[in-house]
Amino acid sequence: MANLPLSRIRVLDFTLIWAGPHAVMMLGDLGAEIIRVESTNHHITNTRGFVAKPTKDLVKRLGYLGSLYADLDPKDQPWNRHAMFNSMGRNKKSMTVDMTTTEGRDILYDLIRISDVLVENNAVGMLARFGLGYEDVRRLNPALIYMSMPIFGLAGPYKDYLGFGVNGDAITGVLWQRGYPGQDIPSAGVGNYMDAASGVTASYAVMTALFERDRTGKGQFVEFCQLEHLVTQIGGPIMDAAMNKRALGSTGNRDPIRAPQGFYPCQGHDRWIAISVGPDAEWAALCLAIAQPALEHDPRFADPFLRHANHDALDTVISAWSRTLDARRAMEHLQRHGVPAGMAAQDPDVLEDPQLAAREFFHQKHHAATGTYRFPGHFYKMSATPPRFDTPPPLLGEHNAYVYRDLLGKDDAAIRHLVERGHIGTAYTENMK
Amino acid sequence: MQPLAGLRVLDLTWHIAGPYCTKLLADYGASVLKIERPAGGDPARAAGPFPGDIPHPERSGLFLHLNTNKQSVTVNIKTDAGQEIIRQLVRESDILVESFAPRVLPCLGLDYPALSKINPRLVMCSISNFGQSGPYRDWKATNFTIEAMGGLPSCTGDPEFEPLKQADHLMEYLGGQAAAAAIMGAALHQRWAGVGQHIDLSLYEVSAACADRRMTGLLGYQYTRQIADRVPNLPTALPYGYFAASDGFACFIVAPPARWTRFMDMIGRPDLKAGQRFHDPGFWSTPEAKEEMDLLFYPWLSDRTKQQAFEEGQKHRIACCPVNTAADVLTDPHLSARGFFQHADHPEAGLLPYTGPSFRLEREGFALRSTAPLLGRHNSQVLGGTLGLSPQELAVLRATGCI
Repeated sequence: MANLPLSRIRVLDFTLIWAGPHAVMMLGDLGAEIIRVESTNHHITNTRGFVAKPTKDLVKRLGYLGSLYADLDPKDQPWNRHAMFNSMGRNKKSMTVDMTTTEGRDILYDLIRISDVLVENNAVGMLARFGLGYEDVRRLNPALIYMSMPIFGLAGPYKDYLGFGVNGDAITGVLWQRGYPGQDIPSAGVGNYMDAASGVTASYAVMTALFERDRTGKGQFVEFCQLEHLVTQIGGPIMDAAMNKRALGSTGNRDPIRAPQGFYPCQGHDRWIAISVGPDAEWAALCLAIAQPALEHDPRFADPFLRHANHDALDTVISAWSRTLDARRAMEHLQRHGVPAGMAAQDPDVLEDPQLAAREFFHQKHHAATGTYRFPGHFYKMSATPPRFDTPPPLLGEHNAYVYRDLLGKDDAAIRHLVERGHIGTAYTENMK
Repeated sequence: MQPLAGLRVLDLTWHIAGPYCTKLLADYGASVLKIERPAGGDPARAAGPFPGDIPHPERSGLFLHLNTNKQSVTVNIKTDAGQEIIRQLVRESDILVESFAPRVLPCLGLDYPALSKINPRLVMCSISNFGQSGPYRDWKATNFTIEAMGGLPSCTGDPEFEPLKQADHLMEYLGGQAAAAAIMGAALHQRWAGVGQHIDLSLYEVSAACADRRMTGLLGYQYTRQIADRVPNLPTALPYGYFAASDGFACFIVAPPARWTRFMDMIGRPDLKAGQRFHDPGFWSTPEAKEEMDLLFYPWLSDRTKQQAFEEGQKHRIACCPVNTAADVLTDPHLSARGFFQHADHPEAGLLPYTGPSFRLEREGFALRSTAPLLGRHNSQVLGGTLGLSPQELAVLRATGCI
């Protein structure tokens, strides 16, 4: 195996849905060995699919995210066929164990003794119920870095409250800053930005603790409060509230300084191009690009403030131009003129994009339960230690032999016993919770 | 001791993505030296918000927020003397972060091949719109167009309207986080293997691989040929989305229907739990179910403030919360009890609340050691002290507009 930054680091992964799995994925990209701890007796909603064994009919009736099973067909192993899990599953191994039993707990204790990092984003206190909280396991391995990712944190009046990414956007003010001016909040649409933000910095948090451990030799607890982290991303509005005792709402797609900025309709159903023009040079370029040279010196649009004041009139002119054009062609045309513009891409546009192709962003991989697909890749490139995409998402329990035999040294008889006791398996059981 | 104490970062970035990256490093103990243009400095100094809406380069809320715990040195890197200062500082640095357009630093002789000769252990991170290669390398972009090209606006908002961008400049923040994560990986490798390297971070790729529906959507589309669409509140019987309380909106995520008994408890109708039809999972996908639940939920919610609804809902284990403004966040009782906002005095901006830890370590982690630096505040200390330039040399640099 290549010598990557985290090649000597083993991570036990107790995460679910998006934020936690994304954090762990980013550690795996940098070389860490990721062991997902799963159970054939407990299916977690929206992690390996909506429910353990949906019927084909249920898949049809689920909303968009629930329905993302390969070929819209759950087949006989639906838990290995869902895009939520599989899109973030690269470089991970999967083991199964029933942590609700003392036997299962002891197996995990043995794994904790030989691991560097444990990451979890379960409901607060869930792991502690099974003797797997930080206070329970720190004595087993004083060098362990244990990160919990509660939305509201582990202290304070909301500490026992429940929430998802959608709640996170709402309570932090992120949702308040999103939306169409003059429209009620629901039109801003359900979004989960908190899930996007949390995982990335959470991986950074683990690495700062590893950096510190290098000096002290000690592990520690990391409390990743997703709510607090997200508030650090709306610093401008927070400062405005502090300085000027006000809370300005969303400006929609417009920008306070740059004008014109917005989505303009293109040829076809629901096709749009984003244009964002700031300094006068970009304005001149836009006027040329849309074949309206006289507009450049129109007194209504002479500077960014006037363009902002007369935004609606400007939108009419730009829309008349864009409406007959293909969104990608319009984007390329505007860029040739030096205008900041980008198509409002949908999934197929991103999959076919020449820039992403040139940078080999997608990784084509074969996955035993679904087939061969192009998986979205990494945020960055590194010259000495390129982030890896070695293995496709793991099937449930795919690496049980590796974990039980190679890491824990169990013999055939012990493994047979653990299969009988419901720890080792590759399918959810009939009477699971 | 803070975790990153001793890590030396040379920061050639401005606006949001780069400064948010180096804020994450600085807040956890790295020494961050921010290089600014002598004329005007970081454009975030002109971005505001300003107290009383009166522009002032030392009072921009965005700049103050993003540049805590950093030092500021002004250098005109377009001059030979300025480039020499950068080369000197590179010798004294572990990490360099820059966000110039990809053509700029090679022209100035300050690209990775040149700087790695000066300091082979250097970790250099370049943050750019489209990356350092490819047909779009020199295209123009803003947070808005980058977000659009990644696909998030197409699946955010209301299908009756145009696509909708996220709040503020979130793709730039996300790019800054991703850069910080990559840098920490490289910093560990630097320490353990003694190897430096170049990180090439593309904001477009950050936007395309965003964990909020984009990664899943790109694979999901190949699975199902369904395009991620804009979804307002879900049409489920039990509330999923944002609903009007007496003083604003509240967010309720009650789906899946298994939570229906909690919902009945929350609205004060535990008696309804005896209703046989609710026990049939099929009932919950009927139009009658939605109508019936709406009639129970809307009046309950409109009798309560968003905060009251939040606290009552949570008592019954329902994932709900208020839709807060930034002003609500600033006075939120939970964040107050946790001591999240920390007040600090700044010589020009006065006493203001600053956001606290992005995450909390058991031992020393985040610290607000200093507020954002005044422009060029550390010129003498760094150029005179660290680099050992004489007062005469500093005077010449100042007179020639180099610092």
